[in-house]
Amino acid sequence: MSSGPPSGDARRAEFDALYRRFNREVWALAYSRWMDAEIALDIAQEAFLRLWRAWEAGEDIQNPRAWLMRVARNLAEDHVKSAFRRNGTQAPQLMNGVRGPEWLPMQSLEREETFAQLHAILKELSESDRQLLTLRYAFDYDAAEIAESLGINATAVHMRLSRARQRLAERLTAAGVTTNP
Amino acid sequence: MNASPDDLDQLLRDYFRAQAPHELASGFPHPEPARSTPLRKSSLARGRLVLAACVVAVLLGFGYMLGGTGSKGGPTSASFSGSSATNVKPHRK
Repeated sequence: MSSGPPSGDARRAEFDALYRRFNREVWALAYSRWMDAEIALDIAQEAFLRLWRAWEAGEDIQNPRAWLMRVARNLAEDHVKSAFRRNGTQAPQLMNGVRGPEWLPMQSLEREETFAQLHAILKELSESDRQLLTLRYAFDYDAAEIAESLGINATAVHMRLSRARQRLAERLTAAGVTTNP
Repeated sequence: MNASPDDLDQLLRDYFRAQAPHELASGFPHPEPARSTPLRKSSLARGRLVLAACVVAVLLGFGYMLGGTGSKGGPTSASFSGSSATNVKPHRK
């Protein structure tokens, strides 16, 4: 996509379209790095804010998606050094983001426990596998969409997805986790 | 564990969907960059004005208290005696 800095309403409309189109990918990238939904959201929004500022400054960004992913990756890496973290950002807590008010207390507890175990097992996987799983299961991306997002081909997506699922199943089994909480 | 692929899929779907923030579905909260600088300046100026007013109020209050303390022992300065003398009735036997 070629995108010079547009102006006024056109710029805002294009920015909103980019946000709707890529915010999930940017969030997934940050989430796969930190395994924390709130930190990932902060990183994703900061990446988009920087894109907006770059446009404001007249910067000519030929490929906004690639630009966003690069910035988000750098932000995710820098996050450990950021003031936000130094000033008391909580360490990633398991299951803080779980929402499910419709669950009964006992079911909710079981679900949280299962999710916590899954969370721990997911942290053992590679970052790229977590990114792939996030896109697949959080946002229902198909193989072609994941392939485009990760810059690999669809066959590789199928293969890596299959391996990642197998590894997960094995580790869940070893941990005694039932998969139907 | 007798996990079927469908169960694992469902578990992963439940987990990742619980993680994904709702904010991703809504639009970007625009920073309104054109307004940010003037707003900041005006709020800074307003803060300074409030601070100056507070300092003046404290000084006036302090002066009033000092004056009040002084009046117990009897006004000595001309300005103070001038203003208070009108309010103090002369003692009559």
